[in-house]
Amino acid sequence: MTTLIQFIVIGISMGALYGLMALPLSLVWSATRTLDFAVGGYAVVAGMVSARLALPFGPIVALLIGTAGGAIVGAAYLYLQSKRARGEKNSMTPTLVSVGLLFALVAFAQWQFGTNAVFVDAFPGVLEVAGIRIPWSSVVNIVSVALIAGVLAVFLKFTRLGKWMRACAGSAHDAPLVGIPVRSIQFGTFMLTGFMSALAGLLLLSSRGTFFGAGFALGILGIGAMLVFGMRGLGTALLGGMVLGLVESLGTAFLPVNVAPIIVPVFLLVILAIGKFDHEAGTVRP
Amino acid sequence: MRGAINFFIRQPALIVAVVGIIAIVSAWRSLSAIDTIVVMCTFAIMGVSLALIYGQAGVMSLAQAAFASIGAYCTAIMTARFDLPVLLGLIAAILLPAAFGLLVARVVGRMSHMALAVSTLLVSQVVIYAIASWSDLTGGYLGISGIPRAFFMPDIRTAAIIGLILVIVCIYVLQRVIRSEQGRAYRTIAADGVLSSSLGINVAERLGWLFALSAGMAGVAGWFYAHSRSFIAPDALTIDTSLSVLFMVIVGGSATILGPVVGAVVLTLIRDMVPNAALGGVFYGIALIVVLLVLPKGLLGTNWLGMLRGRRRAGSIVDAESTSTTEAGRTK
Repeated sequence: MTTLIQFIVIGISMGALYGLMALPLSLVWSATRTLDFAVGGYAVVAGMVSARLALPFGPIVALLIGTAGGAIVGAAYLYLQSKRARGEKNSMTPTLVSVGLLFALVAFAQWQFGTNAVFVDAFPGVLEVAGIRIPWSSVVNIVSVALIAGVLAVFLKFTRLGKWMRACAGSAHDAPLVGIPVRSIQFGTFMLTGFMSALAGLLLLSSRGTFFGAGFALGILGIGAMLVFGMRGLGTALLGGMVLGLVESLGTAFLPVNVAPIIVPVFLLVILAIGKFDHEAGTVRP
Repeated sequence: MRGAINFFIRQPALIVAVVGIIAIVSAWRSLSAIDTIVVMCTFAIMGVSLALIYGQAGVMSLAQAAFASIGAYCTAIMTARFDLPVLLGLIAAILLPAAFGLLVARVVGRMSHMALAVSTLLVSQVVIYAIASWSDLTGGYLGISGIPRAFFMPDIRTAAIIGLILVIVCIYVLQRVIRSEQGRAYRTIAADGVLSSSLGINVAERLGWLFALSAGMAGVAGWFYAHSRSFIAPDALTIDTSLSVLFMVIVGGSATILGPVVGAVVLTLIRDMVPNAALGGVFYGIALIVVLLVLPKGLLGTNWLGMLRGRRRAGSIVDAESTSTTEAGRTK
């Protein structure tokens, strides 16, 4: 029983990080109908840069890199939207730009930092509660994500900028009618995605470590966390992350060793096949 | 003469044949150059397979490397483990990925574009991991070596010739699909699935068969890879490869017939010129971003003459305005 609880706590801790990447992704999707595939790249590069540079510069530079990455995709999105306004069709193009950026970031991480994994034991030791041993890094992850999600929720609910973001997420088409600078808000949302993904990368560095190849997998997990319950809001994005983390952790604990690594992709495929993600009208079912 | 040129321009397979023969003859004495041509052929076949499904039906599949991997392992197991003929391996390398592609289409065909792209990525992950785990059959992470070469492909030079022939055949298939009633149906599906359905097009069935054809063609690339290298491993055809192929198709022009081949040639050359493989990946990503922003229809899909005329016309308008301003100034 204690083993099960330990795996559940670890699963929630990792899932919290996936949820952290999914939070701004769901905002971006709602406001722009675009997926930023590069979230995994931001997390990996941020983690590796932070490990390379001394405190406090490492984390600061890492967060700036993530934010800059989000800004690149945001700028590309706005540029492509202006072309679309002139009649050019490019609905998937911003997503493809993020795929290109992901590829470049992962390759950059490999080029600069090599193929070895990097781990920083910033929170050593375990917390023992009623016989259950919980790594301090897991505790830090859960508490950090809870705080960040709380701050984001307060920001979105009570600040003007937050309300503008929610308005754009609700209807980017109608928001300009009430004077909301939609393009600036959309750009800011992309930057927020980069920032929060970089934050997830920093937390990941001290929980599981990171390496260049994790970029693709993290991106899929971040997007997957958003897809589990569909794009209904921040709460579902975070919850989706936790579910993925649990599936991953419990799969590792209880499934055969050659099945456990694919449990998350199979789980996500089932979710997608059920159709929870399908928000586009007009998709034809066979 | 003009008629002959017009005829030539309208036969992409012929263009590839002529250019390919010139390239192979020029590179005949250099094994590294011939090896590069073999790599280009492999990517070109996968690119054409993606162009079928993405360029025509607008379905972004990120599982082409997985289908190629299935084809490669299929022929490797049949020929290296069971001593079956290489041509039988080719048939299996086409049919098994095609059947798998049909199955995948049944699952993902109903999804929206974004969900479908994510799903094909997940399918790719599952396939590649399954191949690596099934070590009794596939050799696990060590792969299968000693894959016999075909009697018609005994060395790397003949492999380049066979590769070129396969590319020509795939181009011809793509051309036939594009110029057929099926091709028009796929482009209608890409434009609007509901409209297509209302016009009597059975979208699910058509997409299913197109997916199968695309997967079968990717299987051919896998077959060629396995028998030209005599080796296959799980890390040979990965998600990276699928993304690289997508980049090649986009850079070359996804809606054009020769775009995937041009993209494969250009990006393979870039990769070879860059000394570090990882740095090459950075250039790939940047090249994709630049092309998407500046030339969204790719190198061959862009109307270059129209762009130049547009700039000249803009320039002449500016000149006319400055002239009229000057004249207005003189009049006053």
